Amino acid sequence: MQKRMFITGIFFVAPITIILAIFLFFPILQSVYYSFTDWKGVGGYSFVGFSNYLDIFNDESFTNALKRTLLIGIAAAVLTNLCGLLFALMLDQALKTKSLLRALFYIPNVIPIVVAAFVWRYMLDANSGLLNEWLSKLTGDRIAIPWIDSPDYVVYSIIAITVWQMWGPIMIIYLAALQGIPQDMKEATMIDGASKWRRFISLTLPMIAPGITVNVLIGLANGLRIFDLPFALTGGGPAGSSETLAVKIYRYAFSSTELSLGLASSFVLTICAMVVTFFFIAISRQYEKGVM
Amino acid sequence: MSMKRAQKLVVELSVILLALIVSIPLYLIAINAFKTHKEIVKNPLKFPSFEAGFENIVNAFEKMDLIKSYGVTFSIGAIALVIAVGLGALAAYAVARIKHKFFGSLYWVYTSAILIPIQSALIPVVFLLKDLHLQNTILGISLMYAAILSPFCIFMYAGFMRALPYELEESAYLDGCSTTRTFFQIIFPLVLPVTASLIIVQFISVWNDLLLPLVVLNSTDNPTVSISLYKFFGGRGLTDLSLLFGGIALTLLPIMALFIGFQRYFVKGLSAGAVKG
Repeated sequence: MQKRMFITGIFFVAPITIILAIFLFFPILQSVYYSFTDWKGVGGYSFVGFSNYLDIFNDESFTNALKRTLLIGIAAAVLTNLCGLLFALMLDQALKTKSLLRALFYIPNVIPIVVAAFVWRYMLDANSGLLNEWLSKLTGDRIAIPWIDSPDYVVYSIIAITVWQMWGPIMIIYLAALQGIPQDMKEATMIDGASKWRRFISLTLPMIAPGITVNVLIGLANGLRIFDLPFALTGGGPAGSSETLAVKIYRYAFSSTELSLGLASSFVLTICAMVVTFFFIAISRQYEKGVM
Repeated sequence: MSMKRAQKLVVELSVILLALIVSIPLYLIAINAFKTHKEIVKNPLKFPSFEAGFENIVNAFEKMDLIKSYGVTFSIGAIALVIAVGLGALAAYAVARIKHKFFGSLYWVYTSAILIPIQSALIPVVFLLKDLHLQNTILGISLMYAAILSPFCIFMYAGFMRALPYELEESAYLDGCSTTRTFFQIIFPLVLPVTASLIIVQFISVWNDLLLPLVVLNSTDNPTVSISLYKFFGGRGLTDLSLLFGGIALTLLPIMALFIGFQRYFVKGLSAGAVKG
């Protein structure tokens, strides 16, 4: 019986595992392998050791893109979680308009990024944009901050738009986690007379800990691989100041002379994603162990 | 009591205000699709006088060749999701229910694949598709999406299936049901809500994706909706806002209809898998 089940199980996992192996796992290994060569996509190649890696790390536009990607990934993960949790806590108060509000908060996530990029570009335009117009009215001065067209601001605009775009699913997961807290536990702490903040720290937070883990991972995963938004919003500009690793890889990949640099960069991106993720999982395991 | 009620009202009003603020982009799209370029420039937030009627949308429709891109994008999403969801559910059942070390570690392989950015595999995959004669084909890009999306499907399904009581299957086995039959007749019907939400959420992510069609497809032969939009905006700048907003409204319409129609599945499925997993 056990053995038969094992064999059936193999048949169950085989099809998708084969597709994953062909289109994901094997190419990743290939990518790593070729990143140590001067492969140009066609013809022969020879091993060049770490020279591709030295090249990209000596290229300031790459190291800047790397730092920027880490900043966007971490900031997006933290901020989307704060916003998502805040909205979930507010919606959890049994509001009358709950389902409508939930939909409004979620909708940014279903708007195509290309569309979002255009509408935000229109709203954040330095001269005719709505945001500057409102700020001008509010302060009485004429304000013309180049939110998107200046290297100083563009990264923050990208983070803000990403947060707006990602908080929907995160809020939903928190809402579900909050609704999973047993009513009698809530009542027990209320009878104890614990303050709201105390209740949040000692009851709510530990109870939704698994939700936090999943949500931060979603935030990190989406933030670190971000491509569509910078590409559609600015094309990586002005002067490369909003290029993320993913955009950089795309650019390398489409120039045959730098293909191997693209491979090296994609391995760096993979390592970053792995390191940040495992670091975070280790922390959250510690926390969950500590409170449970 | 009335103190509490007043407090609740304040919370509710502030949430409504917040929701309205974050919905400004959506509002802009909805109203400006019905305004002339002049009207938009003059006062973008004003409610339309409907002078332009549906002209913007009709204009955009004629210029964008949308029918073709709708068809292409829909086919890609459909093929990718049938594979990712169907085969993903099968695999999830094995890793969630068969108590064996092998399947236990396989679960972690799938789960860690969620975190791998597609860029890590992208360049070799492009050459692989060439070798397989799948470059610039709907099947090729769909297989790539299936590989990208299935780990998350497996993760969600496995989380949900683990929470199902074992008695269900035990009684089926006692009746002489095979594992395969048990899966199709007992387990799969139970995970339909997760299936529905996975299909919707992932379909939207395929519909909105820019990277893969940019890399794998030729936009004249196989235009996807986001690529058409991207080209549509790229060539124009901000000189004809009414046409742009018309185009946006047009591409947003099916997604919004899908979202509003299936809203409860978004909520149910996302929460079911993620929290229990």
